[in-house]
Formats: sequence, structure tokens, C-alpha cells
Amino acid sequence: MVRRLRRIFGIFSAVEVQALAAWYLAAYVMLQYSGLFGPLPEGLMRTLHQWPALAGIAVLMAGSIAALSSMLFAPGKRADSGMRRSFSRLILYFGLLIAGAGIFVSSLMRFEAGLTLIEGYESSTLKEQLDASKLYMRKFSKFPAETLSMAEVSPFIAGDGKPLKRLRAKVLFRDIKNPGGRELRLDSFIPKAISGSFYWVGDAGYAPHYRVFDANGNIVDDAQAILNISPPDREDSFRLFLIPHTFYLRYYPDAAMVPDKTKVPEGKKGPLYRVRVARNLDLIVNTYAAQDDMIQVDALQLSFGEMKRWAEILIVRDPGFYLLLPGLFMMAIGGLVLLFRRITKESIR
Amino acid sequence: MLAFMASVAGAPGAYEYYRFKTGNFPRDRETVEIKSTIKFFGSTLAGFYSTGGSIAGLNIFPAEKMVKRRIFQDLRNWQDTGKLLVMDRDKSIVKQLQFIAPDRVIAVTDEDWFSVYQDYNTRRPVSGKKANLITVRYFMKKLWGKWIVVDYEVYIQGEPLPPIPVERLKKW
Repeated sequence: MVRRLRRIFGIFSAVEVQALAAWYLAAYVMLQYSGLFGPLPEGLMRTLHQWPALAGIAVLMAGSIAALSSMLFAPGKRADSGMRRSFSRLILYFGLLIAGAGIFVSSLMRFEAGLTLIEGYESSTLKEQLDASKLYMRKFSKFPAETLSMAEVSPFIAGDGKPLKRLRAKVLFRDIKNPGGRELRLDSFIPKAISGSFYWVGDAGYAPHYRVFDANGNIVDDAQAILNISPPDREDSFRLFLIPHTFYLRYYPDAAMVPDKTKVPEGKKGPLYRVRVARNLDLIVNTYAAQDDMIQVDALQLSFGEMKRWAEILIVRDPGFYLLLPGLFMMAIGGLVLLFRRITKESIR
Repeated sequence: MLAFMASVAGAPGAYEYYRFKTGNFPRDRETVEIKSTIKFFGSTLAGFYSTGGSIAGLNIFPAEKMVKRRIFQDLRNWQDTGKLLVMDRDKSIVKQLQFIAPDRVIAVTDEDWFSVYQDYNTRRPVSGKKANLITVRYFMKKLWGKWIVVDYEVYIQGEPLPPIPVERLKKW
């Protein structure tokens, strides 16, 4: 029995097996990112959560356990340089084990979501309020119980009309530990860690306020539309559930920004909307409108008012990350020491 | 080799993607199917309007539920006002086909439509004929071996189209 176990341990701890497993894992990830067999993956962690990748990681972890046990319990390994080499290997294998465990924990508990918030609005991280296309939950993921309210979204367009690369937003964060709220300054470059989750800004844009009136002048709908209409001349559309119309919108912070100025009605200054409305395949409105101008759409009237900004807050809660990071660090240290020792040894020879 | 096999086993439709990426995709056959789907979409849509909302052919109408819902919402609205919007397509030219994936395509067409309002009961015209010259950007996907329209955007003919909304493609 012991001999058989030793043989199995010997197979897994063999450098060739581990090298093959590492190559397999790298090749699998590269094949996924090549898009040769399916759509491009949405992030490295999601690729590593797939069963073929987890199988490769499991082999690497088994190899680490086998190598560690033979290193720690095999006799004659504690002498001079052997000890030092073993120590760096020890760190390398421990690191590999911890990082692998981190990926397994992540594959069970990772939570990813996007929460779009307009300035002045509040939202909790309830399932209904999260962007379904960005929601990624594993078997044991838990919804974070936070409430976020958007205080301010910094301008995302430079003076020359070009989009800024760094997006910033000021958010009021509330949870059990911070019932009174805590102000967070988030940006799109560096995630901010709070209450075990990471937060950063994914996207930002304009949210025009629209009102729809019926033939009697009663308000049928009154809301902000979250649209991607920046920089100027970029178009987006929105629909209302009760009517079959599609509203296409472009926004120019100043009428002077309209590319074809001949089409702008005379006397229009300041912020300007270009509005196109289609009722299924029937194009019924194509006009420029200033703020609060009434646009006739069949029997309804539509107007656009105050412009607010929105930002998409990306949330990631991944307990596996806290194992993965030190594991990778240990692997890097162990690997570098091993490499350094090999180089110095060869130069002495 | 093992990674290759695992990639194929772990992804549904892997073979189609492989053929698509390596240039062995039956583009011509799919193009013919897409063009006939767009033609059928337009003619069936015109049929729905000219019959005042008869649901005959609804099951084979190549469109997703929300597209069908919006069409019938419009038809019911016209019924409520005692009018009928009769639409007739004069011309439809597929200008551009952009395959995003083996089962996803964006088609741009120039379409000339004519519409007239009729009285719902007597079918007498209550308006003049209106020309509607549009460019339509169809978002289509292949479902159970058949192409269907998932969504579409309507533009004025001759105007440059804005870039394809990346966010919409992700949700599609």
C-alpha cells in the first residue's frame, strides 16, 4: 500500500508531469483567448473556472503535494546547498498549492456584477437591480448587501470633445458596518477594496431626462434614460414598454458641435438633441430639439430635459483572490531564487 | 493536443467556430439564407399590417418575441384608433453583411416602403401614400438552424450609420 502510494506520489511529483500540466493549462487558456472554438472569454478567472482548466490545476496541485511530502519527509535533504534549494522549492510548491486552492475557492464563490447608477440615485446590490449581462455567480456566491448612491460622476469628455480614459465617480457606500454611509472615490484604473469586495468604474455616460405626454397633456412616462451618447455624434436608442416606438438620440453639449450645421434649426443654441423616432420600420420623426422642446410622436408628445450623468460600478467579491495573490507571490519568489541559483551555479562551473 | 481536445469538448458549437475562424465557413450558403430571411421578414411584416393584425404566419415569422410584441402592439394601437396602416415594400437591397460569429450576423439593407392609412372597417384610404426610404441594420442570430431577427435599427437612407453598439452585441 505504502509502496503504491509512493509510486503515485512519484508520478505526480515528476517534473515532466508538472511541466506537461503547466503547458496544458497555458495552451488551454491561449486556445480560449484565440477564439478558435467559441466566443472570446470574459476574463481570465472565468476561463480558469472551466472544468478543463480546473483539471489542469488539480494535477499541478497534486504534484505540489507529492513534491512537498517527499521533500519534507524524505531523508538526506537537509544538508547544505540541498537544504537551500529545497527551501526555495518548498516556497514554490507551497505557492502553487495556495494559488491553486485560491482558483478552486474562486470557482465556487466568485461574484461579479455591474450596477449602473445615475447621479442622485440610490441602488442596492439586489439581483433585480444588477445588469444581467454582467452578472456572474458561482455555486456558493453571495450577494453583497450594500447600498450605493451616486453622488457625482466626473466629466468624461475632454474640452476638445474626445473621451477621457480615466473615469471617476463619487459614491456613497452603505452596509451593516457603515450604516451612516461612507464616501468612496472610485475610478476606472485602480479598484477600491471595501467590505471584502472590489469596486471600480466600468463605464460612464449621459442620462437625459425625458417626459412623454398623451394627447390630453397628461404625463405617461417620466424618467432618465441611461444611454451611451458621448462623445457628441454618438447615437444610442431606448424604448418604452408600453409603446412600440424606438427613440434614437444623439447629444451635443453645444449646438456648435453639430457636424452638419445646415440642418440645425435657426436660433437653436446651447445643448441640442438629435431625435429620430421609428415605429417598427416606419420612420416618423427626424429632428433637432433643444431642452424642453415638445416633439410630436403620433398622438404623443416627447420632451427632453435636464441631463445627468451615469456611471457603471463594477463589483467583484472573490474570497479566492486572497489565496491566489500570496500564492502567486510565493511562486514568483521561489521561482526567482531557483533560477538565480541555477545561473550562479552554471557560471561557477 | 489534450488542451485542444478539452477546448473542443468544453465549448458548444466548437466545430462551427473552428470552421468560421479557419475560413471553412459556408458563407455563400448562409448569405443566401440571410437574404431570404430578411425578404421573408419584410413580406410577413407587411402581411400583418395589411390584414390588420391577423396572426396567421406568426409562428414562422423569423423574429424574436420582443420584435413580434412591438409589431402587434402597434397593430392594436391602430385598431383602437379605427385606422389601419398598410405598408408595402417596394425595394430591399442588402448592402452589407457582417458575420460576428457563425451564428450571429449584422445585415444592412436599403429599403423603400410605401404606407397609407385606411379606415379599419371600410378599408378606404384616409391619407395619401407616404414614401419611407430607410436603411435598416438588422441584428440576426441562428436559432435551431434558422436565422431570426433579434433587433433592428432604422436610419434615413444615405446617412452614414453610427458604429455598431458594442454593449448591445454583448447582451445579444
